Amino acid sequence: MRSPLDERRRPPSAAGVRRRPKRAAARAVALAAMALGLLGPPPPAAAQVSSHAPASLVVFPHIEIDAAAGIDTFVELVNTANEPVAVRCFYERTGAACTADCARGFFVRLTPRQPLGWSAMRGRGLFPIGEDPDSGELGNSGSSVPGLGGEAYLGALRCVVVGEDRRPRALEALAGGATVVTLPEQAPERIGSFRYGAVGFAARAGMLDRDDRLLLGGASGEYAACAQRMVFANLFDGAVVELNGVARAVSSRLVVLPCGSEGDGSELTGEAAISVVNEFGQRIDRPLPFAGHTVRALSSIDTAQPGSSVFSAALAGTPAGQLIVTSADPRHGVLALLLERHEALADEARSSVVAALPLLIGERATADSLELPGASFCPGDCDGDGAVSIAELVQGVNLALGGSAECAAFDVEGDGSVTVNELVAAVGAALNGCSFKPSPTRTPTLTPTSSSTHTPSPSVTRTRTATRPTATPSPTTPPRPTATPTRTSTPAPTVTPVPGLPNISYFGLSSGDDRPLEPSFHDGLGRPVFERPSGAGFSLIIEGRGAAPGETNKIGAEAENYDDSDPTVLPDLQIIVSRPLGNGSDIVCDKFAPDAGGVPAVSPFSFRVNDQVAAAINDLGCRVDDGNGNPLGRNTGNLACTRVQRDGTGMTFGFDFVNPDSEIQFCLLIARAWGFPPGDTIVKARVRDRSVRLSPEREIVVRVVE
Amino acid sequence: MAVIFRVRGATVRGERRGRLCPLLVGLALLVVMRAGAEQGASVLVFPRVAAAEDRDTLVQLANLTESTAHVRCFYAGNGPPVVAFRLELGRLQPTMWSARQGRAVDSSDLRCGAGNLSCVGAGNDPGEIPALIDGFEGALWCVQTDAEGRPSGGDALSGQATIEERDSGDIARHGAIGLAAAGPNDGDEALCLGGEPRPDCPSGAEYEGCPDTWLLPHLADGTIEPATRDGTVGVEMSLALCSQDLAASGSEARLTFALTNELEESFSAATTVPGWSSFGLAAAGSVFRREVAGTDQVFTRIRSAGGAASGLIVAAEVVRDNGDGTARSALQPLRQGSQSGGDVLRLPPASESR
Repeated sequence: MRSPLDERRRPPSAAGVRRRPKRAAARAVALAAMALGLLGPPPPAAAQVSSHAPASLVVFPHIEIDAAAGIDTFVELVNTANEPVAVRCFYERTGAACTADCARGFFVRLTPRQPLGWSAMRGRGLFPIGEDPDSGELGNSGSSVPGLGGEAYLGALRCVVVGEDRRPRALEALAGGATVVTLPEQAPERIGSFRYGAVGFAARAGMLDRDDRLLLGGASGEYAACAQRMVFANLFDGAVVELNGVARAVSSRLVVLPCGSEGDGSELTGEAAISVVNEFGQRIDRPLPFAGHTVRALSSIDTAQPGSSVFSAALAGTPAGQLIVTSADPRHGVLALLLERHEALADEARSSVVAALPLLIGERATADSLELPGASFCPGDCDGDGAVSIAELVQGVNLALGGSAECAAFDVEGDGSVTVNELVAAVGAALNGCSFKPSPTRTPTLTPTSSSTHTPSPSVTRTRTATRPTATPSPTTPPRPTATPTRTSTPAPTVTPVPGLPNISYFGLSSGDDRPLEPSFHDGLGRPVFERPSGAGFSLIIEGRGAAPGETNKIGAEAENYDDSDPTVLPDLQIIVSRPLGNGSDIVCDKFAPDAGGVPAVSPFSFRVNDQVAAAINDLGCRVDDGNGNPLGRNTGNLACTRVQRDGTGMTFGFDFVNPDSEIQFCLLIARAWGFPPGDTIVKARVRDRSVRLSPEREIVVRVVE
Repeated sequence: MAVIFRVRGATVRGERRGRLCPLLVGLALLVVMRAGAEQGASVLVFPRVAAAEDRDTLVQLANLTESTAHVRCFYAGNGPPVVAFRLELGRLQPTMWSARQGRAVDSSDLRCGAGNLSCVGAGNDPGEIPALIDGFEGALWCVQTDAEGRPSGGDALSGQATIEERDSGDIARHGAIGLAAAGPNDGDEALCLGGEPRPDCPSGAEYEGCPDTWLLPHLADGTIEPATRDGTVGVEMSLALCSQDLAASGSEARLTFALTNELEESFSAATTVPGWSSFGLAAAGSVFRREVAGTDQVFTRIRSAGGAASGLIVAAEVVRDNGDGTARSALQPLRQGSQSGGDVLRLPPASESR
């Protein structure tokens, strides 16, 4: 339908379109070519502000927390560059929301291409890569992200690349996004989330003066200018959109904040302008005053009566439109984000929010400035003097023990308590002047060689780029899955440890002469597949490693621990098979001749707690041999049942763990009585440490080809 | 009505109704807007559109300029035939439609008002937009044209697609990916996206190239939801190839995924995809699974390489599932570089567009 107010328009059909002769088209091409020649090459691209390219400065315009409502924001920050970067960040909230701690700065070091994430509520105290004393590479040392706690919080987060001297540095390396997640405690089915990408400002080459006041745009701008216009495709408030029989009403909140910042919570006020365009092409302009980080219901911007707002569908006349937010104030540019809620009319529980970042068009003519706050967050630094003293550490220990003194600097995770991890971070800061070396340190990983022989040749790579080439040599092609995996040269079946947990550090087979076997290939799920000409005459090898040094973190040695009246009693090595071995006998531990029998399969194939699974675990586990006939693991390398070849040393004929980082090895010889059947059998295992923490489960496939 | 563009100190006077060839207008716009940050596009790709009984897509398309924009659009996805249609958007006009319902040219549509808020279809109808058959999943390609339907510059377009799940109420919004005009346009159906002059594009690029690499910071598949610590997270991805014939199947490209975890360990995976595809990342390779990746947070770079290289358009969605409910959110990947060899996107003949 046409609006009577709209200009007269041609009908959209092509029927009435005057056809241009082909000659004219040719002339147009020629003209265009001439024009190009006259104009010369396009001007060099200016530093850009964009939400889809890595940048030197990134802004997350909306961080929202409200523990009572189950709202938290998960922040993702990644270094896209192939070199380490240091980053200074600060959370800011301004205006009425700012009562104290209005700008909370912190420092993060990212290794090449490293992604990190944290809950804004809890922050992050531990980072995965410590300083490497051999190479001097810093890893994530000195990094700490404060938790903002569970109190209601609305604000922004800004991060800028800096050098090791913590002064701004030009490197288009940062990217990220934030996801606001809602999980009402009483209604978990109403989980909701929306995500937006951070807005990035590229640095202008050669323009950085490296002080703490960053100039965005302008003649001497150090970074890209704030956008002149931000264009949103929106749905007007109150519009009802019916899709597949479900009618949903739309309402939006507009987040507006100054493009620059004083870095101390000072409230920057100003005015932007919003142009509203409806589907008739009609346009109305409205002022948009802002004071710091401002969140407004869209239809409350211009009136207290939402139904009378130009942002309402009732007045706009159409459900869809465009919002064009212009940085009109010469003092301050703005950033904006639109949060659009779709709420089912018949069932308000079924509502969701989407975030829309605008198209950022043009550059503001005048510069905005962004002042970085001074001090970085330092865990344990109660008095904010940039160092952690013994007295502060004592204070932290007292807090951890339930003391009542206040020191928010210990509560890195913002959960109202002080944990051991937080104490460790503070001790690190005390030792290293707020450049603590967090634990765990970088965990070396195996870099298997891609060898076509059957000689296993794992080697420890302690370089920064612990590369595992083609972890999935033959991934499935999702649109056209293929059942036949491609055979390629494959790495040894090592796995990446999961931080904070015990892990299986090696899971595979060894041959009759004690050499670890390379898998024949990996299946579509990434599991190593070992092809064997016979179902017996080889050993299953499982190695484990604790989450961290210390007795309580060690992997337990028991492979058998059976109580037929209590299925929760289990050994430290737990291992099951998907198909019966041998005759599949359900007699537990029938491993001795002349009555040796097999091992039953577990179905469904999981470590459920029941009698059948407990029996199967013990039936297989009791066949583990520590070299003395006991169902135990071997806890030193020289007792291992495998012989390996280390870096360039040739076959030593000595025995050692397959993975030099392992601390225990379980060897399970497969005899004919409990041999594998022809075809594929999946073997699943996990290990347990002395603190009764279980490792992630691992699987291999034994394929017997007769 | 005259439209004046200032180009490097010179003034070019034109008229809205096409007395000055649209090509020059587009060219002028291109030059003026290069100084800006982002901009409208002449080729717009909505990489993820779905129409079925349990989900539908709300497509929004807008003209950012003060000139009329003519557009040809094509749905191309999980099976032929391609669905083509033409639109005309007045100055600054936005429009919207449901992919499953389409949008008719209906002069009896009532304007929204206090008593009529269920008013989809109100506003200037941009053209007849066909309804998609149930089960469609694919991409929507929109190309700015001149009034006769020949591809041209103009960089007038922007858009987004919002996918709504009927039962859960989940919604995820994907911004359309735009390619700006980049040079002389011969107006034929073979769009030259980036690259140097070559046999199939003797004048070189008509549009900027598709991104060379897509960057996704995301959570590994199966990660415990890190903010609520309730449920797990998965990532779904949709991909459209820039080198393809929209009217024909058979295009495919080899993709490589390079993944870095929080421990700075690198992994890789590869797969072959057709002109359009959608899949859970875990299905593309076990490296995307939490237990293999080894850390919650990972950073994935996606590019096409090898003999069948093609530029890519990528969209991703994060799905949080706590057993009681799900929540979806779009993950807009970042882009890096431009496909060096260039792509050729072949449109169906103009006669197939209504």
